[in-house]
Amino acid sequence: MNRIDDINLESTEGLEIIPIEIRNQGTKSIVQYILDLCKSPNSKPLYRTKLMVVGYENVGKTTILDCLFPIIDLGETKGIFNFLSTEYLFELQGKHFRKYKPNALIIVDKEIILENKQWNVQETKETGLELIPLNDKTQKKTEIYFKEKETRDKWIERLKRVILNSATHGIEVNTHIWNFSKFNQQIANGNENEEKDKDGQVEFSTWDFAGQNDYYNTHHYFLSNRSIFLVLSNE
Amino acid sequence: MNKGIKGLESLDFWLKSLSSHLNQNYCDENGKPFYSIIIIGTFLDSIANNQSDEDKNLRQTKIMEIYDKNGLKSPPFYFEVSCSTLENIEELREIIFNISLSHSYMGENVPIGYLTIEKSIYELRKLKQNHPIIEIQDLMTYVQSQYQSSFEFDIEFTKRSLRLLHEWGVCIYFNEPIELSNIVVLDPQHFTKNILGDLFKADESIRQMRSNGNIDYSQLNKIWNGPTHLIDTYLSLLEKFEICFILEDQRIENQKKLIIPNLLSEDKTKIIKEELEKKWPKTIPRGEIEIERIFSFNQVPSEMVSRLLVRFHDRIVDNIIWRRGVLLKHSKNESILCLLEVKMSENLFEIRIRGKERKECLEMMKYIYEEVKIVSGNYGGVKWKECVRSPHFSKGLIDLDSIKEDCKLELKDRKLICPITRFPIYAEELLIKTGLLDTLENKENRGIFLFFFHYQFYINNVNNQKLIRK
Repeated sequence: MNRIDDINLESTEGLEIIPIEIRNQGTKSIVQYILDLCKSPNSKPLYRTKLMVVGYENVGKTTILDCLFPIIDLGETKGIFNFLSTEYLFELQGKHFRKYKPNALIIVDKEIILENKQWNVQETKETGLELIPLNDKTQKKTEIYFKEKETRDKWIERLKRVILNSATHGIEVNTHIWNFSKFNQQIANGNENEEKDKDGQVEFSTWDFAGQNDYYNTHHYFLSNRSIFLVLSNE
Repeated sequence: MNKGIKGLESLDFWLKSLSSHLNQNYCDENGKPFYSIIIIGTFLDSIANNQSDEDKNLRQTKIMEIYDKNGLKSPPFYFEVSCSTLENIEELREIIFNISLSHSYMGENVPIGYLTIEKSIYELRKLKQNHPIIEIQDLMTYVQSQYQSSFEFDIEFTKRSLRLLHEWGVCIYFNEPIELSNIVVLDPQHFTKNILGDLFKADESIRQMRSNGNIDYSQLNKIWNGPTHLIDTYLSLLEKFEICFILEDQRIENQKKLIIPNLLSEDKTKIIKEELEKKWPKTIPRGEIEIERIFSFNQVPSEMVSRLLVRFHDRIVDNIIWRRGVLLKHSKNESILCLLEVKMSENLFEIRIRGKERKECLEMMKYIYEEVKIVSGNYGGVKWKECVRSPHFSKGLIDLDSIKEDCKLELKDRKLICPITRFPIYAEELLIKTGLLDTLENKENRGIFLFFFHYQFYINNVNNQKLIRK
């Protein structure tokens, strides 16, 4: 294997399907990577990038991510005496909480704007949550039951964040997937990616950097070239 | 207006930071950088609805001026959105999506084996939520038990895949030092929030604990609850990220301290000054030589100095370290000392080395040079060169390469001058200062050089006067 190290590649043109991180490591790593591609039963093209959100404190870094990446899940609401449960699709985009009938996804059945500190959220039973208005008498308590506890926990976490507007601690890392089909319009409009797999997905690893001064010294360790940066300012 | 200025200042801060950290030469075959920047104004809710296009254009022009000033290669995008009404959010989504697809790294081919390991990492995260750190062997056992028939792999294959997944932010894995090469942090967020985040928590008690950059080892369990072996793993990770290190107090036995260089006092404390005076007297001790080098930077990101100090930590003499300097010793000969001081306002590192042997002093200088090269390599926008101070004016810096070049010339052709006073400089004298030359082989040459220089100066003057008369 040592002899491979002696070969200096003048250019990596034509090797673009190999990740840039590997291409930058030199000949040995490139060859090893090609061998790994051969060793695996097959390979997969990957559509993946990092989305890093930076800016001073309180400019809305977490909020913008919550708007860009809403959570959408099927859940049930219970009727009187827990009978007649109805299935809905629930969506939370920023502070917009929406309810859709599963057979009519285009029409919003109900929308509530979850203003800061005007609501409370709490767990109920194994997979349920209660969304309780604190001051607004015109709003009613909403009870939702999800299929899995994991989904419920995800909703509780997001709802608490929206309602309490608490500061991010450290760096929040999450993964989100956007389907190509969602953006087929742009792909079809003659852009260069038309040839790409239209059934595929783009994976965004979102990095939400806390805006408080205390954390500034540590953020730079995670800034990487292969990223889209959202630089926020609210003034 | 003040708010607007503050907003522009914050943009400048972050764009400057990105400019120094991102490698502008890291491009695809068409010269396009791998990063993209979208500047987003999240103030649509707070500004008056009747703002004209002219106002928006003015904002955009000012923002673009700041962007251009910071020398970022990627073309900027600018967007104004409202998170309350969701105005322009859909448009922003489309832009992000299109930008992501425009990058050449999209669609790179990845071995299924790597992706199987990635999938296992995600599965294991759920199983080990409280402590998502695992030994490589356990990860391999899991992959084998779950996906045994799909592909064959060994530990080297696993490590290669982990290194790539680390680059992509899926996990944290380092193949050195040895204590880290055997573990994988399954969830980077565990590191960023629970390990790093807890250490730098904006909480008054933690803030006080780390206020002067020193935390007693015994206090660390108040920051991270858990068994001691976890604390040691956390410390190894933090040291690998060049954030902090453990220093054994050389004055008190068994006293260990966590040092966070970026939080140390900016200037030398009274104790540090006293200790330094003992080890580094104002005059060079008899029988010793001192060599000197200045590293001149286009910019010095504050944390770059801290990272360097972490890398130097096992060579620190008598805990003599402050935020902008340190006293170091040679790895084999402890009498060779190096004082490194950083002048942030001038973007300079001043390095002086004392010892009896020139060869060992030069070895020490080489070590410092290599470490600075490694650390500055993390900052794409940071450029630097080695210099020596002018003997005529200490603020005048002379590039080491031009000194070496001047030495190669005939005495009559030499051109080296002080950049401030314009007085001639005999290059060999500066080389002695750097330690690259032991002694002047022929002392007469200095006189000959000065004769030629003054003669040339006289001729030029005569020619100039002739021209004026004409």
